[in-house]
Amino acid sequence: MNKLSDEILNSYLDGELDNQKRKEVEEILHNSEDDRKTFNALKLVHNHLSSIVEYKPSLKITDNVMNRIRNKFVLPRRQNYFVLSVASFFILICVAIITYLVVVIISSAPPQSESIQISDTVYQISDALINELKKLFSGKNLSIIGSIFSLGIMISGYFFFEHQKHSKAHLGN
Amino acid sequence: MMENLPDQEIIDSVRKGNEADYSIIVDRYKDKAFSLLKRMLKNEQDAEETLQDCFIKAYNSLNNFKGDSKFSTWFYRIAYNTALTKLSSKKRKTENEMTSIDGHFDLRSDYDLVNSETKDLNKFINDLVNQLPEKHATVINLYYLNEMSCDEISNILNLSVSNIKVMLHRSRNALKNYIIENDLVEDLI
Repeated sequence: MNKLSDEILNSYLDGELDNQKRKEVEEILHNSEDDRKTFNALKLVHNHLSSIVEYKPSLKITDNVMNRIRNKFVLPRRQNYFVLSVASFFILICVAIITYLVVVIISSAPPQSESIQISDTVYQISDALINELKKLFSGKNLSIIGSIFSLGIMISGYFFFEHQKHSKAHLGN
Repeated sequence: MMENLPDQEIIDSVRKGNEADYSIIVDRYKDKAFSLLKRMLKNEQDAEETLQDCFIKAYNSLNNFKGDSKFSTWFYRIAYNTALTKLSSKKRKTENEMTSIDGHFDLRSDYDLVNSETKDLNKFINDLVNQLPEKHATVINLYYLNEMSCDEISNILNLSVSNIKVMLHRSRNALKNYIIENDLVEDLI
């Protein structure tokens, strides 16, 4: 007949009892064979659980996780950076052209007198803008701008192709 | 060497863009997390798939890790919750088991300890642990294999410390009763 409950024995095993209670338990364990047997079985379980098996996943687990991270997070982020930088390049060229046009128009505008109306000024500026655009996109200038854009597209295309190849290689892994 | 650095420094490095350093975290936690998942899911393939998902989730949520608790506690919480989701998606009959801590365990080991020549005691106990319900097996795994305190385990399982102790004691008692009922104490000593 056991005098000690499983709960007390577990608490004793974990060292959670105060001094007085611990001494009482030890005395009972000393005198009661049934309690001693139960406690020994519990202690045995506790000792064997301390060396419980650690399972190992497959050796490729780290590579698999890192590949999934690259494909899911890193490569799309890099792709976004790439697209952003190409777009920035073309925006910069457009801004440069517009700035050039504005500078040319302002520098070629006749000195204004106070009597000139606002509508005349707007007319003059838009007229000059059309003329400059005509000049810029005609003859020799058009081929220069076209070349710049073509070069930009070719360079972007090359890097985009390489990038896609790199991504596919990662997916293949 | 990066391998010897504490978790927090490696995480800071990953956050700065050195994503390759995350492999150190994966190597550091894969075995213990896999053991936890295998004991919960009772299936090696499911455990391995879920382990990968856990690492991906943790990487994706790395910016949410504030360092209030240890990284291990945070990561094992992700692992535990992911395993619960996996279990519910497989529609296993675990609902009662997952909410109750009072279940009766029907333990039986496939390992014949008495007639075995090698008497692999650890294999025998391990076999019995794998028969425990998911939550109890998780507590045993975290307490003995990961050497976590009941306080840390309560943070992972989102249960009170006293509930964790109840589960720990019940699991031990179930194993103890099994070996007493089958008269195996002498074989195990």
